[in-house]
Amino acid sequence: MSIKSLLACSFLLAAAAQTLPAAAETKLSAPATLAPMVKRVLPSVVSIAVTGASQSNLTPLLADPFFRQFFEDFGSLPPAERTFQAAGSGVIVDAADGLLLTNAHVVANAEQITVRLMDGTEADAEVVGVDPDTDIAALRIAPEGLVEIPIGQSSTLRVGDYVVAIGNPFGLEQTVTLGIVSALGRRGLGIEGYENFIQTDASINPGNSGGALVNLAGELVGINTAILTPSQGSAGIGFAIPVDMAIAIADQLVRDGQVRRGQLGVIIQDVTPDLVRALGLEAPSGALVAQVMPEGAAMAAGLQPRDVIVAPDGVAVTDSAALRYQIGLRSPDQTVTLDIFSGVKRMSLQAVLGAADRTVRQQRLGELPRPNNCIACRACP
Amino acid sequence: MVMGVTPGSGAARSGLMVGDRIVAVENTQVNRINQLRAIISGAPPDTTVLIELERQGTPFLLALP
Repeated sequence: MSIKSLLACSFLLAAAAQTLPAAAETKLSAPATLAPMVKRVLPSVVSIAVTGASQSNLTPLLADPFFRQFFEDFGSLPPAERTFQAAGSGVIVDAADGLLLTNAHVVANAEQITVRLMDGTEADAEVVGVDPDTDIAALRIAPEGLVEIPIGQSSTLRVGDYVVAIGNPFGLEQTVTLGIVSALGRRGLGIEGYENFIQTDASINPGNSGGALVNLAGELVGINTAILTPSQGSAGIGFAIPVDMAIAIADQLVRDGQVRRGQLGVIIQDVTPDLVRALGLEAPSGALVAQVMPEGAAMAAGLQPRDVIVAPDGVAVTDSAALRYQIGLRSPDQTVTLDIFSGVKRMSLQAVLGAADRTVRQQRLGELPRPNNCIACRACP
Repeated sequence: MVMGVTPGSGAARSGLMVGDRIVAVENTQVNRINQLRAIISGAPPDTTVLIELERQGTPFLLALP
């Protein structure tokens, strides 16, 4: 056996071991290919074609009433709306209900949504609900001949686990790519309001948005959403929304048609080493309270500016984005226990969350520069 | 209001940005540029100065080494 084939075998054995119980890991009964798993999963991944209209980018000249009148007089005023076509991916999560998940940005401004199944069947989809803050949308199609994907657990993913991305990049339906979990809990990218991405080097390209990220058992672990790239194409840094979060959001969208989030009523920022020194903070990380909003949940609980929140309900948070994410998972009127440092004193406070009354876009007040020319963009044209 | 930040300076490294509105330094409200100069020049070397500012209308704390 050549060295090359030995390397190939060891890779496949390692890949299979991830899906096998500990006792079976020593038995060398690994599949020689991922094809059986992929074959099971492919029918659950769909292509999505969207047509719609969006506000066109009018020239700033037209903001001037004089020039606007001039163009109107000569009948050459550009249309205020422009029709567009876009493509993305989706995943069937409930065959009996015809329910599928995709990204909110895939169906933004859509007037018609057409879902194409693996066998070529096409169906019009209705929007059950969208949550732009997490970039999740739930769609429904007629429940005929559908195959739902098994739902996995993103909370048990580990960095280094093998994952497979399936979707419709550049209109190439049912494209399958392999990679690993490169990192977990990626935040602060400024792509969504509430970020907790799985990072993967499985190739994700424009059109993959809303598609499936699965483990080697063929279970859905994420919804592919965005890439960081200098070129609009894959640079090996893709991001997927964890399935635990996607399913929780979808459940609310199906039940209520919208997502209602709790709000603490604070302006927060990251703790930096310089701030630790300047403020004499005890906590080296956490969410530093810059302002407490009047009549908010935090004020009622007794939180003060310059307090550092280190753990809501015992879940350690290392930065402001992590706290924002944790609070966003909770509902209005829910009580949350906040472990804080107030000066050098560690204490716990109970806060009854208010309701977030508007779409929250993540503010990156202390934004770090990205490598030159690198952009974070959604994996959709 | 911060009108410019010298590239490579301590302020730039700390994240001070053009457009930031400085409200207080070392817990003292500043209304005039001379107040700001006096407080910063009076700070001992190798200490960190706490600055309260508004960035895009939102309160923000910054520490300048």
